[in-house]
Amino acid sequence: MGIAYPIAKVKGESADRIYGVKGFPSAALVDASGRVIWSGHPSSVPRGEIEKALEGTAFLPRLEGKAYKKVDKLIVSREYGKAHAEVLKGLQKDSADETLQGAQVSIEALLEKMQGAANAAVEGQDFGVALDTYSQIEKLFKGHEAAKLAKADAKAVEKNPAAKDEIAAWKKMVKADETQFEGDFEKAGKLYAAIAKKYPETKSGERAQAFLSRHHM
Amino acid sequence: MKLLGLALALGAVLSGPRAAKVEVGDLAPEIYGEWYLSDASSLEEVRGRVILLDFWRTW
Repeated sequence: MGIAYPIAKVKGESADRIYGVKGFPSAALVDASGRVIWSGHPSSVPRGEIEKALEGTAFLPRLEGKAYKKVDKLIVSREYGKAHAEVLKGLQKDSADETLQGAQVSIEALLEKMQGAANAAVEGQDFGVALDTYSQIEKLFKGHEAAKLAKADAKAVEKNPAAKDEIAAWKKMVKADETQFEGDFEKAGKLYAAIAKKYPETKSGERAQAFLSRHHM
Repeated sequence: MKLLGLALALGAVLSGPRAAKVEVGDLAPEIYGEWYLSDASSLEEVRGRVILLDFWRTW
């Protein structure tokens, strides 16, 4: 039949209740951070939203061809630091290899984008998001100088006295998000309410409040 | 493939009281069920990708 997408079979009404599905067909679009960015009829999925969401993913283009098998494997397993080292090694042998040149550009562009996002979060005092982004850089670029830098930058954020409340709120936020992800909106709502109350001046507090407002809690 | 389509076959009857449900801006709650044609078996495992959830059901 050529079905090229996963299918999940769900018994009972858990999924449609949680997702608020009122009729079929029905669809929802989820971005790279796991957030619902649109829901509605599948015939009207907004193309622009999809493209915007795709720009927010940390995926690199695959490399085709036998010669690039090793790099491609690293890209698929999202070991971008190692992939980058492998690309540079290949370019030392053949600096005119356009495929490797392209790979170098895209790996470095992604790294720059993530570093830019982390730094912008620090600038905007959004320290939880900054820590999260640094930890993603550390993970994806393990073995690369950037991972060490990200680790050091994260440490500096953690030590910053101005970040104390924000980080405390963020940690509670992660827990509340997990609860929400598991589908327990009621319990999550209580956790968000506590965050909004205790840390109203933080970004996490604002996000917690936004959840409560969305759900009229 | 960055965009991952996920079809959901819901063998459910739409009835009963409406509890809290997901709104745009929320985290997409986990889909607990049997996953087919997929290496992953949870939304958690495909975090980082853009996902289109396509709800369907068997009558």
